[in-house]
Amino acid sequence: MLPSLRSKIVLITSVILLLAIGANSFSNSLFFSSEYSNVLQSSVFVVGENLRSQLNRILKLGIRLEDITGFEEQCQETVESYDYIAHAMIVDTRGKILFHSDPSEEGRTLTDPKILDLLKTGEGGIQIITENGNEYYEVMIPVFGIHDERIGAVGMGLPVEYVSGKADGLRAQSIFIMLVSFGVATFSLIFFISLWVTRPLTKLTMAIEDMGKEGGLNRKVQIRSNDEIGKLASTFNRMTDDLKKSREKTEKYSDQMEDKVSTRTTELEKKVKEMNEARIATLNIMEDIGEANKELEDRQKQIENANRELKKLDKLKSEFMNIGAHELKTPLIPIVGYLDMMRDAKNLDESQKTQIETCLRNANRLQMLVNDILDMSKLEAGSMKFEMKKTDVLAMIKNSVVDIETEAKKQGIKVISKLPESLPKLVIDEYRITEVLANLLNNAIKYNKPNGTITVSAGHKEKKVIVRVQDTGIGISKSDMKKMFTKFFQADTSAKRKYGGTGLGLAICKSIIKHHGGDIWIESELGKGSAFIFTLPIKKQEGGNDEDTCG
Amino acid sequence: MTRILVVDDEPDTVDLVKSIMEGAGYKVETAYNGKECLAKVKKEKVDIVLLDIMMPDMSGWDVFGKIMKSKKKMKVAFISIIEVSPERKDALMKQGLKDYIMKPFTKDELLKRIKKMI
Ligand SMILES: Nc1ncnc2c1ncn2[C@@H]1O[C@H](COP(=O)(O)OP(=O)(O)OP(=O)(O)O)[C@@H](O)[C@H]1O
Ligand SMILES: [Mg+2]
Repeated sequence: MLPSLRSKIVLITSVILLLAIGANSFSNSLFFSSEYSNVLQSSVFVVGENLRSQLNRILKLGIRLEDITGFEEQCQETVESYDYIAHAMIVDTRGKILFHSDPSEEGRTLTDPKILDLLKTGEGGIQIITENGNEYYEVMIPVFGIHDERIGAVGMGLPVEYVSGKADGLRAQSIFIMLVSFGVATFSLIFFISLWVTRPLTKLTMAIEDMGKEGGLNRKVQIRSNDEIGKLASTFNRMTDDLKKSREKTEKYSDQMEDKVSTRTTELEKKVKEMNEARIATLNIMEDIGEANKELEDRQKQIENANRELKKLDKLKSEFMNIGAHELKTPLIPIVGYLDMMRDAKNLDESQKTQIETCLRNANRLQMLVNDILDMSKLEAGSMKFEMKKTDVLAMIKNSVVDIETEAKKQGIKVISKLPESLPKLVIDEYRITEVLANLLNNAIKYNKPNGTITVSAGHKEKKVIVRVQDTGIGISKSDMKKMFTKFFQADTSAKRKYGGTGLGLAICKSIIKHHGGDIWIESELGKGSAFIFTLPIKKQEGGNDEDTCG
Repeated sequence: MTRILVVDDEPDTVDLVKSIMEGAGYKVETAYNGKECLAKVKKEKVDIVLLDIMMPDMSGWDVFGKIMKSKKKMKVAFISIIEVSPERKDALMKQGLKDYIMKPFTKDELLKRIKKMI
């Protein structure tokens, strides 16, 4: 389990506190111990000064330093009065000890060069020296005679150990204070967190847990404070109120509903009972028929269900097809569009021009392919929408011929129309049949010979209209003829490269014609040309006029 | 100068139409969805709106309906991948549509149709 919120906050805050207090007391102890040693050293100077003025008073009486006796008493007194002074002495200019707090030292000459240097300066000062294995801050204050000549010095010893011991004590004290304040801070932290955060939160959590229990919604969280938790609690209270209200509302509503349903049910039951009685009476007579009926009903239901399923699937499929079509066609639009624009650019050289033309031709081909594939899959899936309506087929054929005339002329191909005066009106999808005609006519141009001709003819027989597109082109072999209407079939690959196209055109044509209930076939001789013929049935329309022709 | 608002959810297509139009000297505004289009129609002075149909938030049909309702004096043409029957086209024209341009289009064709609309 993870530690509680309280212990997390306490942990983080105590670490911060500990660091802050620790750093503070550490720097304090450093500062204090050095300060303390400074203070001690200067007080040693003061004491030394005092001793020197005592000596000066004697010297002023005209007594020479060598002639003074018993001054070690003053030295001893000084050492006794100040516990941080280890020894006090009077030396002459050469370092010979004249008076010493320890009389046994008298007569000895100081040898430490640092001290001897101090004596020479005449200004006095402080030096650390080692004597009998003990370290001292040795303070030297010069003593002057009545003619202001340097005659010696007052020396005072302050044990280094004393100073550092005091500093250690100080440090220990500050660590102690630090620990105590840390403890107090931590405890108050724990106390206040639990008072302000954890306890209200626990209350809130308990209230939330209670909510699911019986009557839990009536409970209120009692937290009155202006902080976030207080706000949370009041929001929570408001929420439980709302919840309670909405629960009451739904309960009331469902009670009403229940009432309504039960009255309806009794009514229904009554009716059913009545009906059942009537039916039993009938059933008694026609039991067999009833059973048969029931079975029929079941069947019908099954069929209805299956139908619904199918419709759903169909809808899904056509949706998919629509989206797919859009997605496939969209990216090609800017490609073809920009290529179309680039082609008009002025500063292109010949090879760039051909490159752009090639790109454009291929992008166009891809566009055609996408269109054809989509049409094909729509046709195969049966999701192609045909808009069947009465159409003037003759006008339609004429328009289709006009549409390809310029392209034919460009290729040096003559188009001949052998069309009748009139043709019956047909119920067809004009757009799609025009598409069929356009593909047949385009093929007749593409696969024709130079200076060839195309003959378009039409007529009607009994119950169908026949349309024929004849060319004088390369023709089609017997074996190819059968495969002609299969998807992606192209007679030979060199032709494919030459003419472009997808090989889907005829497959689409066949599918469209089949959908109209017509037929499509080829008559051809290799090398002499081919004819594509399709028929469309003339359907008798209810109330319609069979003689409904036009021209 | 004629101002044209091009509306399409395909930024590349918008750019294409824009550069074709600008190349021909028209002033072009763009919008990438129905809402944006309606906002621009309201704020700016637009003479022609070229409207895509299949757009995710609001279809071109809806946008067209709203523009027509607003009674603003601007010409709206669809520019779409979707093929519609001639009847549908007639019905739309009766509602105020000025043209129905199929995608893909060539530059020349597009410019010709715009000129005709003006
Ligand atoms: N009039 C014709 N004379 C000779 N061969 C033909 C003729 N029409 C079609 N073909 C052959 O039949 C093949 C299939 O024709 P289809 O119309 O299906 O495709 P396509 O013309 O290659 O491409 P697209 O899908 O663009 O029409 C052609 O590649 C060609 O080899
Ligand atoms: Mg073809």
